[in-house]
Amino acid sequence: MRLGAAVARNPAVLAGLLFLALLVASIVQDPIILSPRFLTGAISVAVPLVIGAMAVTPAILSGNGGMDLSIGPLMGFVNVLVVVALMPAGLAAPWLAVPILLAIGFAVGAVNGWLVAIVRLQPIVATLGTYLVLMGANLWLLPTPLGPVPDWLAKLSRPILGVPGPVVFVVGPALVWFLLGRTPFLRTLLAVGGDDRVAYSAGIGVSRVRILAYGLGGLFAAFAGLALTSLIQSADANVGAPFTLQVITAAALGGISLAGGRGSMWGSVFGALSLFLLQNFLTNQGVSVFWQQVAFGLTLLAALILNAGVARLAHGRAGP
Amino acid sequence: MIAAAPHETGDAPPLVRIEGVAKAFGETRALRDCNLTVRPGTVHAVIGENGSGKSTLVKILTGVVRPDAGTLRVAGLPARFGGPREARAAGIATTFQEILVLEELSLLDNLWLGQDALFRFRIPAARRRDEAASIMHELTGARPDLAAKVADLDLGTRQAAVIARSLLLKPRLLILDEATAALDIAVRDRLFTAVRTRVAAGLGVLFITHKMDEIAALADEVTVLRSGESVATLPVAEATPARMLELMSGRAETARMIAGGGTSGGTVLAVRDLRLTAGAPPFALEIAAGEILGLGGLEGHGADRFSQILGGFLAPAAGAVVAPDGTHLPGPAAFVRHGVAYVPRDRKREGIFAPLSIADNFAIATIGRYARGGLIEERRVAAARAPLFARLGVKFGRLADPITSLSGGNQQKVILARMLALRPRVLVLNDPTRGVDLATKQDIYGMLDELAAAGVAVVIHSTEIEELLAVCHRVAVFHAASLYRVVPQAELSREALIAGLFGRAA
Repeated sequence: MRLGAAVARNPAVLAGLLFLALLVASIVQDPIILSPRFLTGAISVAVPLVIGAMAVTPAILSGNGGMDLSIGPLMGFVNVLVVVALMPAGLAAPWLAVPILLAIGFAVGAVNGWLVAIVRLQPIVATLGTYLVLMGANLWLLPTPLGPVPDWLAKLSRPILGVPGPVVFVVGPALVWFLLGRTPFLRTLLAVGGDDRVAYSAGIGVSRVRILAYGLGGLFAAFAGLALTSLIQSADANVGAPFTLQVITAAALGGISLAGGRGSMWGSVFGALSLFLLQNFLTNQGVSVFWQQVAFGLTLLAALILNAGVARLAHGRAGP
Repeated sequence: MIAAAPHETGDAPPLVRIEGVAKAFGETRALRDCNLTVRPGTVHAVIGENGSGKSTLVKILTGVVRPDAGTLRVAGLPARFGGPREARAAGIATTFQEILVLEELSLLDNLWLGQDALFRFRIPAARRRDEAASIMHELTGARPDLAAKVADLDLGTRQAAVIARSLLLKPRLLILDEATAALDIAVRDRLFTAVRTRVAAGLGVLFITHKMDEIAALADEVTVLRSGESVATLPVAEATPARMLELMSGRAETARMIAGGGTSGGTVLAVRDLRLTAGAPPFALEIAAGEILGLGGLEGHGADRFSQILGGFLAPAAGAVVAPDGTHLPGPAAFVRHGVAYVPRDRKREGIFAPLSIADNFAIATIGRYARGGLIEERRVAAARAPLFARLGVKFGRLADPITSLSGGNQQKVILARMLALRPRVLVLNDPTRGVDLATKQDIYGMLDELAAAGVAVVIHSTEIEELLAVCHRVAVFHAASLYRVVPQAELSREALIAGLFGRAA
């Protein structure tokens, strides 16, 4: 019951438990997972998904049907820009490339936010629009995959002082979110997501908060795109889009309420890690990719049902 | 409008002065000509029927809507607010009728909502906690758990919290828009004390209420609104309930609002060994055909809960609701089959279907009865609806309009009509006149009277003693999560009820 109350208070707890259970199952299945070699590779592969899940989180938290479908193609857009635009223009050095790409990511996110908060489109439709635009732009810029990537990104694919290189890109979003948590912004975002009328009547600039939330999502997606580039060592117009549904799955698995205003970044991170472990576990078991999809879907549904059930139990509410 | 003129020689400039303000929403002229002056250090009450323009007045002063005509001056300077933030900046804090809280955030965060910049705390953490704790203690008399999620707090505490939020802004003008509905009497008295202290220090208050006793207790002067016009401003000494009613609607109030004597028929519904919460003492009660049974109690003492149980909306912790033949009513469907109709308390969340039309909101509970061969016959819906709407005096534009286009009182009438179409044997009403104007109240009381005379058992939970006195044949008073006593008609008095509320014999 105390666990139930803890989960009801913070749904990320359930995501954390799921992660631990999958971790134990993976270790029991094959202890090789604990070897430094495997661990380094595995973490590198998980990083883009983890950052992507972080990227979709602020939009969902901002409420009123908050959602960002464009995270995947935006990751791909960043990946494509590195090779197609920045390298030919001589802007591939990290101190130039990183700020430029982050600014582009933030700008695309802010456009999403503008469409949602000012033009007042439904988030799922607005970001479907940017999804299609970015997908099209990616394919137009780069019809076939192309390499190589700048040296510094290539180096980041290998461990640095024992730490898998792509982990570097987690530091940015984690730091930004941590610092925002120490300002009123995070709670203001939860307020807007919880009930925008309450926030508005309390004098909060609801539109500004929503635009910033989507902008943050775009910024994080740019970090994810960089991590993805260092991982795959090439540019590929189609590499980003599949992340869209995965990151939403990860966030939902992490207990982020799709109604907005409820959830934590830890939830999304654990959700993404769980999704990754599950995929790894099933692959090792020789489960086909198609059945893996079924397993993801069932895990997601089970997690949502469990979350709702535990919350109801903890509140002691019967009723409809 | 010159009624305010004699006061104007006072030295303090008016805090807020509204002259000739008008506002229309489409065809509806919500405000036609509103004139009002609030001086610092005074409480100015506004009273008026539903649709008289009170909500629009508040929305203008809060910056939610902008007036079409007229002038608004704050501290002598013309003001035109672009939004709640600007109104706040001008020193106006508003506590709305709706309890605007964020359930997922802590009490502390709810209290300070909107006071910070986006990336910077304006007030140090220690001071936040101290001020929040002290103001909640001032209002509720209890040490608050500031870290508690608002989802875990009861309605009364939530309402105290939204009032506290306004007071923490240290406003020059405080607008209380029917902000006392969910408060129990002890907290309301504390609120009034807190307001008086601040008024003595120069705060101006615009106090919007339907409760005459609250006006007498708190206000210095009263403005009466009728159909969007301010018809009179009176010093509170002259604002007797009869005078205010006359100004509002021309109707004179009668203390007793029902004519029927409550001739008791046979029992139609009973409770046995019922416990409202685990561990609370059990009780029994029988409800007779043709009576109006009131349920009263301080907030959180079980009257609200009991009315939900009687309505089949909530299961008791132990015991059962039984039909006269002793069969248990196990769930909502059994209640409906037994002829129990329930009108919930929270109109917005449990009563109306917000996106649906007025017509659909009426028909939803009885929709199967109007079908022939599976298709709804509009003619049969109309035949069921017309007499009920006429009897209740529902005022609406078109039937196809969304129910949210109606005022709160008219929404409540539609819900009542919906349940009456079921031809219930037992009608359970949970605080049905909350936030409803006096004329609508009288329409509803008249309906209850007729129903009782026709043999329907009516159960009404009310937070207003006046209402219980005005309409009930018997009143069941709840205290400490159980039935304390049933006050029979012969003993019904304000004193008897108040004594019961506090768990003392009269």
